[in-house]
Amino acid sequence: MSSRGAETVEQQSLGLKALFAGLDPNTDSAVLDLGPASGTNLTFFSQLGCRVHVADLYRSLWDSAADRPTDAATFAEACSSLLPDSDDHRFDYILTWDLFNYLTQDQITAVVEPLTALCKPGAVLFSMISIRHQIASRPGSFQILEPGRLSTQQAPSNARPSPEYKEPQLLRLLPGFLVRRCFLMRHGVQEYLFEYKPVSAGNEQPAAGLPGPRPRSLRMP
Amino acid sequence: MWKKQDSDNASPPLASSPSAPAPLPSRKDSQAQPSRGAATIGPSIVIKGDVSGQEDLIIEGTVEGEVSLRKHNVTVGRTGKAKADIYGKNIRVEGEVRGNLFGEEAVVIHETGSVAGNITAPRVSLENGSTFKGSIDMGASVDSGQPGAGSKHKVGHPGKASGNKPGAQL
Repeated sequence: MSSRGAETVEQQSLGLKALFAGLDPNTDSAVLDLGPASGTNLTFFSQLGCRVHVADLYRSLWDSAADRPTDAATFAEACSSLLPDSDDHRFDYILTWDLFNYLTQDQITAVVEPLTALCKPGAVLFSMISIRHQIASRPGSFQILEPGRLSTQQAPSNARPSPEYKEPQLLRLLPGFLVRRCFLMRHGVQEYLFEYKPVSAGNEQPAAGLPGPRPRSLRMP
Repeated sequence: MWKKQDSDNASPPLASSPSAPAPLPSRKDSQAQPSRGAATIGPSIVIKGDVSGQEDLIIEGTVEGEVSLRKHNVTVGRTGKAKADIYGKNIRVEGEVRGNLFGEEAVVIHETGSVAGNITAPRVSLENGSTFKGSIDMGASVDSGQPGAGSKHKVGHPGKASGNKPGAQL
């Protein structure tokens, strides 16, 4: 990610804290990071005994003008080629960070389809959805300082309109996923932990908008 | 060991916090190698094939194939481009690699480095500014070529470079 004009801030992340709270370092967990590679994050995951795959999706799709996909089919194909082979990889955690804020609904669908094939049953997808009207011009770069704290490097805010995705929209775009936890943060981000519960696994999937397995939604004081 | 041209390009140690893993070997540590200096593939050199040998190697040119110096250090310099799988003791990337890295001790991606491929090494360092896409496995054995528990060994993404040309022996 270009650092020109970028500002670095530290933020709390209750979503990440909850995500890693139940992680047992003695188990072999696999993490798929759709953001740019970070040595800090690698150190964090290695201390938890996690294997990491970095996809750096946004930079791969948009930073090279020659490769920028121009239609939905090309975009879907590009996403599939950037993600690891589902025959060899399955993940327990997927970090989308703020990527969905920069994708149209069709593009989210195109990304989620190959992601679903990479999920182990019960896999958790972490997403930071903006609730503000304006967002930065491009996704940020996030470094995990500790389970509940992030260092965020992002272009100056208010550079483009935010899609302001709501939970029912997201659940339609993420078939097979349920909201496990949801946290409203005071810096204008709603952090979601989506859990992958395929219907074929015998789990009844509630319709979007109906009460699901979500324990509670916390608002940051 | 890495014979850097610019002295201010020293790689910072990995450990920057109390709970961080042990620091990667310094240049001084890595210089405890056979007395013969590192071989260098110059910027204008293009090798298509397999490279193997018994000494450290600095790649400033282009290599397509496989680089196998398991007991020695391999550096892909700033002008270096490797479309190859690289096996080494300590591997440092300051240029571009499209292939998998297998470090017996450590792999370091410098801030100027760009890697698309998988890394297998007990210690891995990604410096700020570096570019990386692929998997990182710090629990696998490089000698056995077997992945960590729960995953198959996968060559590629973007894929293993082919090596049908005669190898270059150092």
